Amino acid sequence: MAKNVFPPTMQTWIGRRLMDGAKGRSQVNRHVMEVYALPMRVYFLGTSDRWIGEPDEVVQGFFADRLARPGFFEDWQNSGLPLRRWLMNAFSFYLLELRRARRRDGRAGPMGDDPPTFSGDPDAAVDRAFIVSVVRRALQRARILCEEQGLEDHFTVFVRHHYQGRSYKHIGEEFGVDHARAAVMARTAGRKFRAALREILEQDGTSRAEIDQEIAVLLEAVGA
Amino acid sequence: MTDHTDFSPDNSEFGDLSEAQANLLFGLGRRRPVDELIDRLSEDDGPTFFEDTLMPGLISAYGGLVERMVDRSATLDELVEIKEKAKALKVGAEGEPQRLVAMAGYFFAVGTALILHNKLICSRPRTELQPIMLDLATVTPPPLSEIIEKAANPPSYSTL
Repeated sequence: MAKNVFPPTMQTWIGRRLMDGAKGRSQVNRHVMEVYALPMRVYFLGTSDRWIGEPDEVVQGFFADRLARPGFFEDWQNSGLPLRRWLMNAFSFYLLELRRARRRDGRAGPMGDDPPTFSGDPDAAVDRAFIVSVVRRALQRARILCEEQGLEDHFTVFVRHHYQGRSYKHIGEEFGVDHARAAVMARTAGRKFRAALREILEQDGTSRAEIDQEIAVLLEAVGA
Repeated sequence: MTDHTDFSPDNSEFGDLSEAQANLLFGLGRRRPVDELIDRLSEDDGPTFFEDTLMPGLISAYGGLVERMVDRSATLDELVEIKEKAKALKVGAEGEPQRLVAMAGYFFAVGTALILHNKLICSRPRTELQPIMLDLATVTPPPLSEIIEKAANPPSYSTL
């Protein structure tokens, strides 16, 4: 087997972007904010700290505070944790800091310094939200890819069937094609969707060779 | 499962995506081995790749059997021979070109056998084979595309 000459930090999309300076860092931050706004919101709403503030404001405050910190992503890469678990840990500490700040401001009664408690399974809740968020982003990217290649109808057929649950027979009638042609159109757009989804997972730290396994593990974890 | 998950619809694009829909779509992200071939053929230069790289690769790997497969004169034994050679090639493949030639040989032979001889020469169930043939047909140039498309829904067939 050939020796892997790249250090671990270079093996991920994030690691490679971080080598590109401010521009790369900005791309990484954008990925995290786009994909993790929903999972972090879900996590926040499940904690005992949800009284602290409006969910979207708290999550955006977390991103603004932590993503700007030097070494934040380097520490993640050294942790060996999936990015969503690393962000959950960081968010938990951020909530603790907010709670202390509220106490200093006199906006909260005496409370302990324990990490926030979560009602239910936080890992499962975040995994479920992560899947929803990734799929939303993949659909958006696939639509853009299809539009760029003049495949708007193909994408609409794909959405009609896989998103809205309509049969190819009905879709074919809407587009004036037979059901077999409708299926072919959906498959063409489906390939764009699959590529977009896999790209997002790769950007999130999953190696290309492990994407199928990651999908299977996540679906099993959420009981799908 | 927690009760605190908030996937309530928002105003963003696809903001009304439900968890059940998301799980189904997330599963579509999985890639079958044959998708490597289908994706390559669906790229912008797919037709050129088919003509200039894949076909010469098929001829180099399977010899004159390929021509008989394309002009639909191949015997059942010849198609089984292509399929078996393809399996061996896939096992020993050293890179993408060999893998693609192996997969193309395998599925083109299976599809051709289904239509020319009404025989399923592999052990894959039809539920697995049909979507593969449909996908391959959309990215394969004629005349092979015609036979591959028919192979997705063969009128009748038996197994070897």
